[in-house]
This record gives sequence, C-alpha cells and structure tokens, in this order.
Amino acid sequence: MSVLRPFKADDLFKFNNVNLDLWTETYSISFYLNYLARWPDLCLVQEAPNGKMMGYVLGKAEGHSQEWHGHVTAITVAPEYRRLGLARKMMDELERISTEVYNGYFVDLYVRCANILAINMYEGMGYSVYRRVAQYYTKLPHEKGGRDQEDAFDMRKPLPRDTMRRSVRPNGREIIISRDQAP
Amino acid sequence: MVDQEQRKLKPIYDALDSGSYKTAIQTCNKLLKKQPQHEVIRALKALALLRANKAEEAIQLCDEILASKPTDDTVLGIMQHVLKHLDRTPEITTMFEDAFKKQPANEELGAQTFMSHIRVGSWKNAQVIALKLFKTFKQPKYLFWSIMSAVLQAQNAGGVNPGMTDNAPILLNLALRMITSSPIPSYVSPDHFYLHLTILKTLDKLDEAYELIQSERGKRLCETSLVVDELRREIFQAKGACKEEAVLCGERLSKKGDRNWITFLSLIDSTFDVIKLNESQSQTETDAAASSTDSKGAGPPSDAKPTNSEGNGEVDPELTPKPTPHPELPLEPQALIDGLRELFERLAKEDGLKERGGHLASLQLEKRVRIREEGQGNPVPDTLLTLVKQYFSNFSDKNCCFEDLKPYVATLQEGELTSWIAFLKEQADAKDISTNAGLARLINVFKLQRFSKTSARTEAEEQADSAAYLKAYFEALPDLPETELQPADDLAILAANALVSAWVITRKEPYLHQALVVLEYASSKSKQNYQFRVLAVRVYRLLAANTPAVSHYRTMDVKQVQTDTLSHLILARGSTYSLAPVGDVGMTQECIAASDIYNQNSSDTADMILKAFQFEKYSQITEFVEFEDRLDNSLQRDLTRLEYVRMKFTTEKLEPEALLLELQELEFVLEKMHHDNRDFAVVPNYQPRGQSLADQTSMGVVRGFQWLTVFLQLYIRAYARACRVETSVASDMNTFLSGWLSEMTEDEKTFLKFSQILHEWIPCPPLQSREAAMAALTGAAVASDATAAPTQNGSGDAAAKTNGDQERKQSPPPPHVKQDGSAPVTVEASTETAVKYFEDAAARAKALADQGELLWEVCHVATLAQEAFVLLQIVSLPYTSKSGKSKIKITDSGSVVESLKTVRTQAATHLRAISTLLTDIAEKEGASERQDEWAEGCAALAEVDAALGTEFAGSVAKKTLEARKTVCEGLAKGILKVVAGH
Repeated sequence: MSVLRPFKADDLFKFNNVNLDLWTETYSISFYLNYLARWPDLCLVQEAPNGKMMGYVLGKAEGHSQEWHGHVTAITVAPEYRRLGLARKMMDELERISTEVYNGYFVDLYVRCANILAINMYEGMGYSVYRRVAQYYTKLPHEKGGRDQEDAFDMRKPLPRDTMRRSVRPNGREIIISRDQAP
Repeated sequence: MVDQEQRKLKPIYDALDSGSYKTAIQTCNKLLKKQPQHEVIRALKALALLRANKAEEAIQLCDEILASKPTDDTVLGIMQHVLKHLDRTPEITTMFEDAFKKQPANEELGAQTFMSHIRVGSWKNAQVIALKLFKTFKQPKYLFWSIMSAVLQAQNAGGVNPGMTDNAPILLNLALRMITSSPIPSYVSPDHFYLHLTILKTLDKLDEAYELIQSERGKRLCETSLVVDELRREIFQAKGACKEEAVLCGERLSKKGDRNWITFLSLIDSTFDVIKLNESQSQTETDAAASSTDSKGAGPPSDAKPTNSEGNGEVDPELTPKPTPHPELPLEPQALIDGLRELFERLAKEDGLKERGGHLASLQLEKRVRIREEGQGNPVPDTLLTLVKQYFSNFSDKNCCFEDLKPYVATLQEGELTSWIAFLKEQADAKDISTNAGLARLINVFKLQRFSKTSARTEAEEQADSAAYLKAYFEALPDLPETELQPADDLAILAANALVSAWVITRKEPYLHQALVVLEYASSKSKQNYQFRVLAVRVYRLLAANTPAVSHYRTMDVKQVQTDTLSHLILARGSTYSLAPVGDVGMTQECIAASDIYNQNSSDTADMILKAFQFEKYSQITEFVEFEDRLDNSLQRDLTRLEYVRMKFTTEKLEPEALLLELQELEFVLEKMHHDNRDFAVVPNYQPRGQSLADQTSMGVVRGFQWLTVFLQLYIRAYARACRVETSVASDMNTFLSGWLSEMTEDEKTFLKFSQILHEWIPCPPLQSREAAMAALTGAAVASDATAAPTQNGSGDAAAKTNGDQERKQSPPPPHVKQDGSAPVTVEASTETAVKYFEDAAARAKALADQGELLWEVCHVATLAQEAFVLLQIVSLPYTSKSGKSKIKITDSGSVVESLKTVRTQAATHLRAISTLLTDIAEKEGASERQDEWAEGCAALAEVDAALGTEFAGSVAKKTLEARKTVCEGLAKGILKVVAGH
C-alpha cells in the first residue's frame, strides 16, 4: 500500500532517505534528468501516505528488432520500507508499460552474482539468468571482491510479445560475455 | 577532400584533447599561415587560447569570428563552447540567428537557433523560431515546440516571478489553436496529450478537456500513463466530476486490481464530494420548493423545478441541467459510506495481510466520517479506535505501522486515547523480541507510546524510557555483521530521542553526552545506518565538537544534489567553527564542496531541457525548468555563500575593490526569490506529538529567508560604505529588522544592533557613483566625484540624512516575509556604545561559560564578536584604506580616524579577553579529570549494559573533548590573529 506515481525532477530533493542507504548510488543531475527526458513513463516512485519517499525505479527502452526491450537501470527501496512487496509492484508496472506502451520482447536487469537475495527475488518474479557479464561492477569498498562480486547476471523476463521465449535459456549462467559486449 | 580536411585538423583536436593547449595554438598558427581565413581553424584557435588561459587573445579572436557571421556547423559548435566558457551565453543565440538568417533553408541551423533560445529561457523567441521552422519544413515536432514555448511563456517559467502572466490567456489560446490545427492529433503520445490537456485546464476549458479524456484514445492514455492520469484527476476535480471520479476509482479498485493508495484516497474524497453535492442539491430543491410555495402558495415540493443556483428560479433548467445522479451511485450519504465500507472490507479480506491498502482505507474512511459527524454536531462513532487496534494487531510486525497509524491516532479523543494507551501497555507487557516480528512490534509500541501520550513528559519518564529502550536494544541486538542494518537500530534511535528530550526538560548536559554514547555505540554495530550519523552530527555540534560531526557527515557520503538538501547539517551557522584564521580551511572547503552542485545545475540542466524537447517529452519540460530554478535560487546556496563570506573575510585583506564585486553579488542574491530545499526529515523524530527533534538539536533557531535577508542587508550596507557607493538597502535598521528577528539568536540580534551603531556613528563618507567605482576597479580613468566635503552625521540619530540615503527607496520586504510587528529597534550610537558591544560580548561569553551553558553558545558569542571587529574594519575602510585608488581626501576626518582607533584598540582588548577565556576552556577540556567527569555523567548507561560502561563512554568522551579543545584553541588563536591582522 503506497502511492505509485511518476518520478519527477523535484524528487531529487526528496530522495535522501532512500539514497543515503549504502547500496543506492547518487548520480549527477543529468543522469536522472536524462532518464526523465527520454523514458518518463518507465521512471516511478513509491510514496508513503505521509509523503515520504519509499523507493523508486528508473528504466529505459532499448535494443533493436528482437532485442527491443525494457531495461531496469535502478530499483531501490528505503530500508524502513523493505519486505512490503514494493519492488514487485514497481517491476509489475514497469513490465506493464514495457508491454503496452513500448511493445517490447522482454524486460531485463543486471545484478551482482553474489547478491543471492536479490537474484532469488527476481526469480520469484519470473526472471531468469540469460547470461553472465564478466567484471561489470567495480569492487565495493567494504567487500572482499572476487568474481561473484564483480560479475553481473543479466536476468530477463519474457513479455507476451516474446512468443518463442527467446529471452529464456536454461544454461544462462554458463554463458559469459565481456563487459564490452554488454549494451 | 573531406578526409584530407580531417587529417589536417586532427593534430589540433589531439592536442586539445590531451591538454597540450600550447601545441594546439602553434599548430593552428602554422596552418593559418597557409589559410588565414580557415574558419574552423580560427575557431579552434580561439578555443585553445581560452583553455590556455589567454582570455584576452581568445576574446579578440572570438569577436572577429563572430563578426564574420559563420554558418558552418563545426565552427558554430566550437564557438558555442567558447562563448559558454566566456560567460557570453546570450551571444550564442545571436550567432545562430545570424547564421540561420543567412541560410534559411538549413533546417539544422534553425533547430540550433531554437535550442539556443531555450537554453537562455527566451521562450518568446523560441516560439517564433519554432513556428517558422514548422512552416518551412512542415515537421509537426516544430509546431509542438512552438506550442510548448508558448506555454512556458504563459507560465513565465523560470522567471523572477513565476506564475501566469497577464497575457497568458492570449498565449494559451494561440497554443490551443495551434494544437487543434496540428497535422497530427495530440493523442499520438502521452506527452502530446498531456500538453493539450494542460492548455485546456489552464484556460479553464474543462468540458473540452473532459471530452478528450473520455474519448477512447484518451481513456487508453490515462490507463498507460501515470502523468496523464494525474492530470486527468486534477481536471475531474476542477470540473466537479466527483461522481465520475468515484465510479472510476471504485471500478479500478474492485475490478482491475488497482491498489494505488492515491486511488483509495481519491475514491474517499470524491465520495464525500458527492455527498456534499447531493446535500446541497436537496437543499436547493427544498429552497426552491419553499420559494415556489411562498410565491405561488401552492404546489407540492416535488413539482418544483430544481435549479443550480440557490434561490434563483429564473435559470433555465435546460441550459444548466441538474447533474444526473450516476446510475451506479446511491444518493443517501449513509448508503454511499456503507458502500465504501463494504468495498474496503472486501478488499482487505481478499488481499489478506499482504496488502495494507484496504485495511488502511477503512481507517481513512472512518476518519472522514468522524470529521463529518463532528461538523454536524453529532456524537462521534467509536469505530475508529477499534479499527486502529485492529490495524495494529494486523501490521505491527511491519516497520511502517507507526507511520501508518499516526494520522489516525492523532484524531482520537481523550477518552479513546486512555483506552489506546492501556492497549499499548498490554502489548508492551506481552512483548516477545525473540523474533524479528516481535521486535518490530515492540518498536512500534514504543514509538506509538511516545506519540500518543498528550501529557507533558518528565525527566524521570524520559530516564525510565531511555533505559527501557536500551535494555530492549541490547536484548535484541543479534550477531549480524556490522555492515548489515540491525533490526534493533530504531531502539537506539528511540533512546537518543528520549535522552535529548531529558536534556530539553532539564538542560542537564550529561544527557546529551549519554545520547552520543548510545549513538556512537549503535553506529559501530550498524555502520550503514545513516540516522545515527545524522543525529550524532547534530549533538556533536551542540557540544562544539566539530571534528567528529564533520567526520560523520563525510562518512554519509553526501554528494551531488544531496549537498543542497543536506549540507545544512554541518553548515548551519558553520562560521562558528571555522578555524580559517589559523589556517584550517576545513569548513571553507565544506562550503566550496557544497556549492559545486549549483555550477553543475547551471551547466547541465539546460542541456536536459533541450533533450526533453528533442525527445518531445512535454510533460517534463516545465518540471525541469522549475527544478533548475529551485536549485539556482536555493536558500541553502546563499546561506552557504554568506557563511563562506563570513569565514573568509577573517583571513583576507579587506580591499574596497574586492568588496565592490562582493557587494554586487550580495545585491544580486537579495533580489532572488529563494526556495528552501533543505531536508530536515532525515532527522529521525520520535518525540512526543508537536515536538521536533530537528528543532531541539538545532544550533540556535533554524535559519530561513528572514535570517538571510537581514544578514544580506547588513553586509550590503556595510560593503556599500566601504566602497563608498549607494545602495538601495535602507539605512534605518527598523525597515529591515522589525518583525524579522524570529530567526536570529539573541547574540545575532546584538550583533545587528552593533552594525547599526557603526552605521550611525561612523560618518558616511562622500559617495561615488557605481560607474565611477567600477571604473576605478577596472582601472579606467574617470573623474573622481569624491571630493565633496564630508558629511557630518555622527550625532547618532538620522544617520546619513545628508548623503541621499534618505531618498533611496527602501527595499520592500520580500513577499514571503511576514512582519510580526515587534517593537522597533533603536540604538544609541557613539564611541562608547561601540566599545560597549565588545565589552558586553566578553562578559557574556564568560557568563555563559561560568553558567555551564552549551559550549556552542560560547563559541557563537566569540565568533560574532570577532565578526563585529571585522565589520568595524569594513565600515571604516574609507578612513583607513591606504590603497591608492580608493584613497580619498576627507577634510576634517582626523577626529573620525582618531575615534575609530580608540574603538579598535579597546575592542581588541575585549577580544583578547575572549581569546583567553577560550584558551582556559581548551585547557580544561584537555585535562584528564574532564574525561572521568564526562564518563561519570554516563554512568546510568553502564547500569543498563556494561557495553556502554566507562571504557566505551570514555572513548566517546575523549573524542568529544579533544574536538572541543581543538575548536576553543583554534578560535582563541584565530581571534588574536584577526585582531593583530586588521
């Protein structure tokens, strides 16, 4: 239960309680406004009844022909609002828009291979590992590093248009590409 | 051919890219020998010169190139860079316009011209160019650019006074004509549609807007675009289409699985609007019936024709039809309310505990019913309390339960509260924190208890509560790695709240020490938790321990746009802890770091506005322009700027030349309409209802627009004197002070009075015109007009009456400032009163220290006295400056100079006394007994858990005391330096 509304430019003044969390990066103004200037309908905010920001998602649409898809660039929920199913609601909406407005084949996202919790959550939402991108992330200061910290899984969920289910493959975890090959 | 050209230019680009600007210039020169008129090379040379810091040459070459009116794409692109760096952005527009005039068939040039107008916010020119582009190149996109520009113009977006302009209706009607005659319909995209609806809504053409929305395409767009749906809701509301809204929301909730809280709220709101409408209609019917009975003396009420306007039976019912009740909505209020009740109950049942929407909507509905019943003088139904308890039982294992319930608990009446508090007590007694759910429940109980009790809290209560919170904290604290957030964290936050509250009640400082110990301990167990750090920053600053405050702030990694919203945490009255005079530039650096975002905004946000035009995201453009404006005119930006000035001028040589530039900047800032973007909600507040932890932990009253205005005026007035120029700021302090003192500390008020003493006591020197002052600054020869005889106005009142101050317009109070009519401030200005300020400051600092007030207050008095000394130097500059350009001959200035000297000497004596006081404090803080004493004050914590015993408390004490010592020592030495240096 929350207000689901469009992400707006002045939300940059409001997102501190979400972004002060260690796992959420704060980017330049242009980063956010670029998303809003191109895919405003894929940028959403969850707000508590008292107006506090609970979380947000920033997405985009990209790719050619059968690779045309919705992409989740950032999804985050403030610590105090976790385990309320907010991420799922935002993903549902993003998938709906990717289908109804953009007519994409699938939605995808990147996640650290070591982030088992998140991977399980996305699998629960119908995503599966499509491939592994080597050295996609930089090491986090407080982590040991290592392959699973730095590599990303590219996880995909087919949308109705992907009738052949090309965005799902059982051996995705074994297919490794380099960072340069990733879009 | 092209390749050859590229090969030729490549070395220049390479040199520029690698930062070898000298090489770039040389290469350009070499090539220009063969082709002296090669435009691209000339432009690149201008760029290289600029980068090599050869501004004069760059400017000359740039002017030459512009005079040739270039049209080449590459040249224009490079020149755009050059002009931007030279701060000559408006000329970019002219350059593109000239080029487009020369080549009207060049579409790219036209688009660039349009963009250059958008970049500088000249919407009107943009509108004209875009229309021209549309007529020439027939692309619908250009028509919509023109429409959007007209809308921006009507809104005066980004202007000094945003809001609808007088000619808005004309502009918007024009925009509407363009959109309706467009070759493509507005429903091609949500953003085109949004623009269309915005225009109609602003023009109050709500029926037309409604019709568009209700079309098949319109409905579809509302379903797939949240922005459009938001606007739809606003239009429904403006039109009074509450029935339609209620039906729509009801359908979405019951049939389409919508659980957006906004839909719940809108359903409730619109249903109550329907009730109101029905009631006013039946009232009208009764009235109409009554009047018809009166006039005709016959006819049953049902025969009376209903009308829309009260008591006016002449309105033709055909023209203003009675809104027909929606077939799906009953008419009776009770039936409508019961309908909602049933719906919410059904949804709550269907969704179970996975979804709070239906459950919370029941509470929201009962709250509305309660307000309605109260308004009608009916007894209040008791359903709300039952629902609150039920909601608690269902969701108290979720962190957000407290927040969810707050607004409803706040509407409970006294008797209900008693029952509610008893209920909470039962819950607390039955606690079981062996599970995370049980722990979350207890935390919710504690938070609700603090919020629910309306009686004033006592020291004993806060002591007992903080102990209870801490006890639970230690019981619940699991062995999670310190990089994880601990589920028990909020218990430590609650304890810190209670301890600060105990300090507020008693002013016993050890409670603040205890709060710090708790926060430091909890922070060490949960390093990611930013709330501990935010609170610690505030408490450390109250205790004048600036180093750990800044260190916690830095660990939070505040960056980018966050510096605008959060830098107030360490920069509020930041000059209090500036050790700049002794060479520690930590605080000035923080000011600079916090200000970088404003440059980023100026350079980047405009690009994003252009991007929104390129991608035709019309729903975003106004928002972007407003965002840019909010950041550009941010209150925090200028509070920081002023703080920086106050830190900086303690170390710099005061020169009228530099002050003149500073003066103009401050005058510019004073004209701004500021926006307060500061985020105080990051300070976790669990204080009793009506109290705010952010306010309680503020170093002095929270500053705002009024504080900024007063201090700006104070310095503008002083700088103007120093530079001997006129200013529009009033000379009479009351015109800018009366009623604006609420954001000042007592000591700041005293400081202001001192500034007035200076203004009245030091005779105003002969003034020169701004032009002459500027000319002197730039070295141009202008006949000095500063040869007049000095004006004698040292008599105290009516300062500067003879020098034209009086004629000057008083700057009007900014519209956002309310005058509260406090008593006027008067001062007696003389050498004695000027000296007395310093004498009083020294005495006050000592008294504060002796009475054991918070150390920040002592530092505050000390830094203000130091600032007063600098202010004295500034205002007396015309009499003391030895610099040739500003040296003036003031006849008979000897006595002034003499009395200035007296004040300075005596002020220095008192400042040295303050310095000694601070040195003494520093020494005491450094003594080992202080540490023991400090740790002893925290003994109560050790009783709760040994982890907070002497060892840990001692380490926090050590850190705090060392930091206090650093501040006091630094300030003490700094004062001596300032006194000696000026």
